[in-house]
Amino acid sequence: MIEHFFKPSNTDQALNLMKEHAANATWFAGGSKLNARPSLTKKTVAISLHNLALETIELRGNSLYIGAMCRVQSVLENELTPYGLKQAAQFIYSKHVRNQATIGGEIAAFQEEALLLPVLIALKTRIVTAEAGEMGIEDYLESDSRGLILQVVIPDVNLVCLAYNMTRSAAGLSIINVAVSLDQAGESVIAIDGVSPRRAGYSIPVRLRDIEAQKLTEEQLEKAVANSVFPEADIRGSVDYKQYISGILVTDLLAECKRLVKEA
Amino acid sequence: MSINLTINDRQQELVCRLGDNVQTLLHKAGFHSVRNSDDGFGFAGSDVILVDGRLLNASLLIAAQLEGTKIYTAESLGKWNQLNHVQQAMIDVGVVQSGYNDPAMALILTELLKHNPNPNRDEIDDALTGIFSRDAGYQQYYEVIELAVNRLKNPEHDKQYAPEFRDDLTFIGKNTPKLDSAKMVQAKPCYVEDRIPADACVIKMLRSPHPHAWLTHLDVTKAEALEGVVTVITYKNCPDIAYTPGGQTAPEPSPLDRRMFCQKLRHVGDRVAAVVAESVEIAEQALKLIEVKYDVLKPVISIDDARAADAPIIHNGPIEYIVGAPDDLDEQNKNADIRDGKVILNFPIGCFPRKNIAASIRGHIGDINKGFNEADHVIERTYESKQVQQLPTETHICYSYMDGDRLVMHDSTQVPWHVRRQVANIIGIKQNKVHIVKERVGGGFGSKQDILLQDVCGWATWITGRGVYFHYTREEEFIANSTRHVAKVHVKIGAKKDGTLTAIDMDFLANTGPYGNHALTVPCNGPALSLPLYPCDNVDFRVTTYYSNICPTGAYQGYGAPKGNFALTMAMAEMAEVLGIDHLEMVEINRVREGQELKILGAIGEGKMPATAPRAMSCALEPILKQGRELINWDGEKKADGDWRIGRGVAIIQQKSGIPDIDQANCSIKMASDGTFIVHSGGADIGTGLDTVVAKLTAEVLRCPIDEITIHSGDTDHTPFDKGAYASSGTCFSGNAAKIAAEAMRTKILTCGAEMLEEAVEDVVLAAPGVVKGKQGEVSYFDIARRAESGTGWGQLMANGCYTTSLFAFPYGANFTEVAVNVRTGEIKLEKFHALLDCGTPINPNLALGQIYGASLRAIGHSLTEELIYDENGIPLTRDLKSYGAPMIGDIPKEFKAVLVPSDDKVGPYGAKSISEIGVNGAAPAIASAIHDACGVWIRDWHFTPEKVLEGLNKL
Repeated sequence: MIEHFFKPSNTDQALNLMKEHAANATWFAGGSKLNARPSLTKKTVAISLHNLALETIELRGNSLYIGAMCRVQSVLENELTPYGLKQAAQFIYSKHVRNQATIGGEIAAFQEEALLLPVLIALKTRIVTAEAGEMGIEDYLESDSRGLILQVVIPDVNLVCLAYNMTRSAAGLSIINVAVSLDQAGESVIAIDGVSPRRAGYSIPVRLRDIEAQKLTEEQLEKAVANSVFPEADIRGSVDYKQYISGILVTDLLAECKRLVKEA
Repeated sequence: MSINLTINDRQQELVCRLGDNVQTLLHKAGFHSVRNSDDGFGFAGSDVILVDGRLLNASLLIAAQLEGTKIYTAESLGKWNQLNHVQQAMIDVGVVQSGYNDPAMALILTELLKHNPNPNRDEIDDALTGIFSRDAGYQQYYEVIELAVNRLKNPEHDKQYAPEFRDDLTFIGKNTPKLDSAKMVQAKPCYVEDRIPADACVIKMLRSPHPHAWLTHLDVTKAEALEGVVTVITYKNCPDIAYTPGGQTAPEPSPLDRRMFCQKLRHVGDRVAAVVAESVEIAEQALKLIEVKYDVLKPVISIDDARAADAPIIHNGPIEYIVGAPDDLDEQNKNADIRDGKVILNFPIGCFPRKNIAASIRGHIGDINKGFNEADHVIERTYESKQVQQLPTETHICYSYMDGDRLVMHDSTQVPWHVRRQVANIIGIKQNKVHIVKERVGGGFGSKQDILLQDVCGWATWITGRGVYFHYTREEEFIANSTRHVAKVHVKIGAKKDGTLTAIDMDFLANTGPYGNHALTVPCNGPALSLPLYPCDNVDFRVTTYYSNICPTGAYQGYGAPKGNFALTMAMAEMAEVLGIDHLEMVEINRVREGQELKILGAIGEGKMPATAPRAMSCALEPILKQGRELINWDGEKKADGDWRIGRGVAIIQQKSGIPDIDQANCSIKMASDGTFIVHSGGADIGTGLDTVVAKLTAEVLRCPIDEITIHSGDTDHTPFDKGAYASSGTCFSGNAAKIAAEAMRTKILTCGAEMLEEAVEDVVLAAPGVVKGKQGEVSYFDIARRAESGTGWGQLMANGCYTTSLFAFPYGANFTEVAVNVRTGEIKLEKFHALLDCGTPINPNLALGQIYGASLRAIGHSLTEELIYDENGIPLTRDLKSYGAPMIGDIPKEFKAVLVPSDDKVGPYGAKSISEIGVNGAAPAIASAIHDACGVWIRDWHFTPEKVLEGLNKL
C-alpha cells in the first residue's frame, strides 16, 4: 500500500525523490493502473506527477507536443489530435478510465494490453524523458527501465494513420490491435499487438519492417502478414485465427490509408 | 492521517491512510452510492464519483489523490425526497430494477446532460461506456435521456414510453413507478452492505487452487493465533450435515451431496478454510498462515470425461435414501469412502454417483419408431452450450448476528424461507431461532436461489456470538457460485415433406460440476420448455446430468430452457433448409396453439409428475409471429454491403409461471387504524418489481390508492411462507396469494361496511377511493378501521391468502433477429433484435419491458461474448468481467425492441403470466439461425465467434 505520497513541483525535485526512494518508489500519474486490482503496485512511495505542469497539448509546426500528464480523454477530445490516435484512445473502452489514465502512463506502464502503443508506433512518436531526453518510442519501449516521460511528440500530425482493435466484446480483451500509417512518399509503418509472446506478462507490439519495405498486392500482403506473426493460442483465439485476422486487418487498413493519401 | 476535501459541497476531513481505496473509504463514510461491483478492475462503474469535474472510478483512486479536491457522489443529486430530473426520468421510464448501479448511472447521465443538453446516440453510448447494466439492458436509458432532456426544457413534460392495457381495470396494466425505485436511485441504505456495522467481523475463504484434490494436511494454528482472528472453520470443526446448496422446496429433487467443508475438494474455488476476523486485512493475512497440502487428483472437466469408463469418481461417499432406496444400495456403497462425505437422496432421481451421474430421467409419448418411419426426412444433430454466469452487479453477501438466542441474518437472497430451513438444519437448531431478512437484492437471476455463503456465515456467528459478514469478490462469483449448466443435446427429428414433424428424440446431457443442486430440474426443463412448443405425437427424451470438476452450476434464469430451445430450434431450422421450407413457415406449421393439450408435459415432472397433461390455456403466438414478421421485414431484401452479408433468424419461446403442485405462496393483509393497509407478502422482490405487483393487485381489489398500501416482504419473522423468487413464480403465485388475501379483506370490509350502513351485504360494494357504498350511503375505510379497533368493534381487520395450483400458466414469445456477418473477418453485428412476448396481462408494462430488455441482453451476451473458459487442467481462466466478456452498451443491438403482446390467461391474477425468465430463452437460436441465413454457416455450439464463422467458411 502507498504510505507516502510526494507531490514535487518540478522535474528536478521529482528525480531527486526517485533517487532517494528508488527501491520503494513509483512514478504516479493518474493511478488507473497502479491502483487497479490486477496491477496494484507493491511500492510504498508514490511520486506524483500532478504538479509538474505536463498537461498541455500544443502544435509546433506539424508536430504535436502532448504533455505526459494529459488524460487520454483530453487527447481524444482535442481537435489537434490525429484521427488514428483518437481511434486508439477509444480502445480504452471506459470513459471513466480514459478520464483518469494519462498518455504518459499508457506508454510507460507495463500492461497486458497496451492499447495506444501500436498507433503511437505507427505515428513514429518520439518520447521526451527527464533522464535521457528525446528518443523514438520503440527504443523507449525496448528499455527495461522506462524513464520518466515528460512529453509525447507526434512528429507529423498530418501523417495518415488508422487503427483497429479486434475484441471479443465491446469492453473485452484485445485480440489483435493493429495500426498502419502511410506517408505521401508511400512509406508505411505497420505495428501489431497481440501477435508475439508476451514478455514477462506484458505486451510489446511488433513492427513488420520487412513487410513495410515490400510492394505487395492485397492478397500477397494478407499472406505475408499472417506468415510474419507468431501469436500464441489463448482464450482470445487460436494461432491460425490470429494470424489470419492480422493479415486481413493490416491489408484493409493499408488499403484505406492509400485511399486517404490519394485524397489528401 | 487525514485528508481534507470537499464532498457534495461540504468541506470534510476524512481520517484514513494515504493508500486507502477511495471506494471503501467513501462507502464506509456513509456515501452508499459509491458501491463495489468488480473489486477495482475499473469495469463495472458502480463506484463512479465526480472528482474536480471528471467522472472517475473511486476504486481506482487512493485517498492521497483526493487531498484538496472537490468531489460529488450520487448523493448530491436532488434533495431529500426530491429527485433530480434524471432520477425522476429513470423511475418514470421504469428502468430501475435491482438498482445497485443506478445511483452511479444517475450521476453519469446528469453529468452528461450538464455538458451536452441534447446528446445523440453515439454521445450517450460513449458516456455509458464505464457502467455495467446487467439488469436493464441499456435500451431504456435512451428514453430516460429523452425524457430528462425534454423536462429540462419543460418541467411539465410527460410521456408514456410503454403501452397500457386493460381499460376495465384501474391499476393493472398501467405504468406505475416501482415502489422501491426512489430509494434505490437515491442510494438510500437498502442493501445488505448498507446494514453492516463497523465492528462486524468478516469471513475470508481459503479456496482450492485445484479442480480435484484431497486435503492431506491442514494446519490453521498459526492463523488462529493471529491477533484479530476470531476463529477458523474447516472440515475438522464444521457440522457434519449433508445438504444441497439448491434453494428449492423441500424435499429437494437434488442430491444432498455437500458438507459445509469437506476433505475432498471438487473444484477450483472449493472451500478449504474460512477465517473469521476483525478486519479484511487481518483475515487476508491469516489466510497466508494456513498450512495446507493437497493430493491432486485427475480432474473431470467435460461430459465425455465424466462418462469415460475409467473416469475418476467425484462423489464416492456413502449413499443414503430418505425414501425409495434401490435394491442394490449396499452394492453401490461397497467401496464408499466416508471422507468423501455422504450423498443423501430425498427420493429417487436417477442419481448414480459411482457413474458420476447426479440425476437422470426418461420420458416419452407415442411411438418414436413409428414417427420416424412416417417421416420423409430425418436429421440428427448435436448442439452444445457453454458455462455462463449471472453476473449480478451486487455480488453475493450476507450479514448475521445474534439477537438474544436467535440468529438474525440480513441476506441478499431469492429464497428467504429456504435459507432459514437450510441454515437451521445445518447449524442444528429449530427454525424459530433463525430470522432471515431479505434486503433489496442487487441482481439475482437465479444465482441467489442457492445457499452459498449463509451456512458458513450463520455458523460463524452461532459459534462465536459475533456479528459476521461474508461478501463475495467478483472472482468468487465466477469460481464459487452457481452458473448455467454446460449442456450437450443430441436431437433427432423427423418431418414430412410439407414440414410437419412426425417424431422428436432428444438426448439431453448436462454437466452440473461438483455438486448436484438443480441437477434434475434444470436439465429437465430443457425438454420441458422446448418440446411443448412443437406438439408432436411421437416424442422420446432422456436427461442425464453428470458430475465434474468445473466450477459449480445451479439455477440461472431460463433454467434449462435456453439449451433445450437452442437445440430444438436449430434442428427445426436445419430441417427447414433440408426441406426447402422457410424456417418461419416451418415454425408456423408446427407451433403450439391456444387451448392445445401439451401431452409431452404429462411425461415430465420436477420431482413429481403432473396428474394430467396441461393445456396452453392462453397463447398469443399467432399475433406475435404476425407482428414479428412485419417488424423485422422477414420477407424483405437482404442486401449485401461489401463483405457484410445480412441474415434473419427466429425462435419461439415459452416458460412457466411457477411450479404447479409443488410450490406455494402466502400473503396477509392488515387494515391500519386509518383504513390504509399493511401487506405482508412472502414473495421475494429481487428487483423485478414484485412488491409493486402485489401493491397493484391489492389496490385493484380493494379500490384504494396504491399510496395507501405498504408492502412488507421476504422476512421470515414478519411475513408468511413463500417458496421464493424462482421458476417465474412471482406474479402468478405470490401475486395470486396477494389477490386472494385482498379478496378476503374485501369480504370483511363489505361485511363491516354493510353493518355500519345498516344495509344488506349484497347491497354494498367497494368503490374508489376506499369506501363502502350502499344504496343509502357510504362509509370510508377510515371509519371502518376506527370502528373495528374500538371497544365495541370487530377487531382489527386482517385477512390471509394462500395460493397453490395444479394449473400451468405459460408465457409465450418470439425473438426475431437480423445480423450482419463479415465473410472476410468473421465479425458478427447484431443489427436488430426484436423480443415479442405474451405475458398475459402485463401488470406493469414499463417494468415488463425492462425485464425483457435485460433478459435479452443477457442472452445475447451468452450467445456472442460470454464464456467461462478453462485450461487443459481444469483451471478457470476467465475470473473477471472483462476476460469473461460481459456485454456493455457497445454490445447492444443497433435496433433493440421489446414488444408486449397480451393474452388473457385464466390462471394468473387478472390474466397475468410471468415475464422475467422467458426473455433469455430464444436469443441463441435466433442469432445462430440468422448467422446461417447470412453466410451459410451452422454454428452448433455457444458462443458464436468470428473464429467459428471463419472456420465454417473454411478460411482457417
